Amino acid sequence: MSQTTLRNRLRDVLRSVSPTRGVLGALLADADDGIVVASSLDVGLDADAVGALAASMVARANQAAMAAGRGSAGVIHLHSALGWLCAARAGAHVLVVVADRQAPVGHVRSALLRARASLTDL
Amino acid sequence: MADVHAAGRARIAGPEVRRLSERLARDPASLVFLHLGDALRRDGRLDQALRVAENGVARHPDLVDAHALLGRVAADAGRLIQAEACWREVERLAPGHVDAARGLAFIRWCEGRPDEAREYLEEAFARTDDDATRRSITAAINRLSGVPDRRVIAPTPHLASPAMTGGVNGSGNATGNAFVPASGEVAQEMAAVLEHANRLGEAMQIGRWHALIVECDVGLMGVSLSSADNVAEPGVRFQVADNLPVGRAIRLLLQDQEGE
Repeated sequence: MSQTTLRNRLRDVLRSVSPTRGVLGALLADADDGIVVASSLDVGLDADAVGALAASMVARANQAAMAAGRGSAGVIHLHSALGWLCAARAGAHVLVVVADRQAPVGHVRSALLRARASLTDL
Repeated sequence: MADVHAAGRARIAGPEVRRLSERLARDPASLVFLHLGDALRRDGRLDQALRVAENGVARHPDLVDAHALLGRVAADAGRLIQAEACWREVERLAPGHVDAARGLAFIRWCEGRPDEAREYLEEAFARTDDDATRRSITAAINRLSGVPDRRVIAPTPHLASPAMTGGVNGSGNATGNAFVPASGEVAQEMAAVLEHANRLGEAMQIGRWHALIVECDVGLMGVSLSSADNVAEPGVRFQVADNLPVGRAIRLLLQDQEGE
């Protein structure tokens, strides 16, 4: 698969998350260096910063989980008064979904897990 | 997306912020910025709070409260280096300042250095004879030492760790103490996670985080942010749970915060 095709497929996977109620966009970053591979986030957001920080946060959360004797970290949910972020490791990448605060937790989480499953098929 | 964020901000922008903003606009040299900066900080609008505090420091470089405000905001925003510089400046301008020691304690705690955080808190305790302040500092020291705070073991359903404090039944109701002090490597790693969370909130323009859940192979770990204004109290609660749906965990964490 060419790089262009791969990118298009990745973008399609990210777009598949967006119809979920309250979801504002999604992003895929390299798990090691945090470089954004694909993003459907609004241009107003600094996707590079979100990708790098999310990748690093997922890695540190995984270390915290291991240190606490709870195995590996799976999905991470970060809530604020205005919205929330859902992130998870997806193979060599980190998948991030950004939602507004009204978005149903279960739906967004399911969308993220579906997208993660699609990524493993690529 | 920008519209959604703007709508969110409008919802939380209280009349207090508007009133203070108008007062500051009418008289930019006034000390209203101290109240406005704190109001914005409480709203989680840290970018704006930083601008207000930095402008205030620029206008009033010898004002202790201006540096203290910037120290609080910078710490909330995860800018620990900037926050430390502010508290050092407070110390320089007002040696023996209680909040400077508490602010530095908070920074050390965020850095995963609880021993140094405790030293600063003990220093803060020695600097004041105000009973309420001393109680608050003692609670913070106890939390660092793993001594349960009476306020946080109320008999309400919360997350809990069977291994550490009690049990969680199949419905996720805690049967033991609710809160678990994180220590050692876990605390250090979680402090790093929270620093990233602070910066993510800024990058995503969603403000200060309130709750963070990490789903694990075994149960989940949850962190909620205390709504206490006092930055020197390590206002973060770390909890673990088995067998609890993530949606319920989030609701419980947010209830914790609102219930303070």
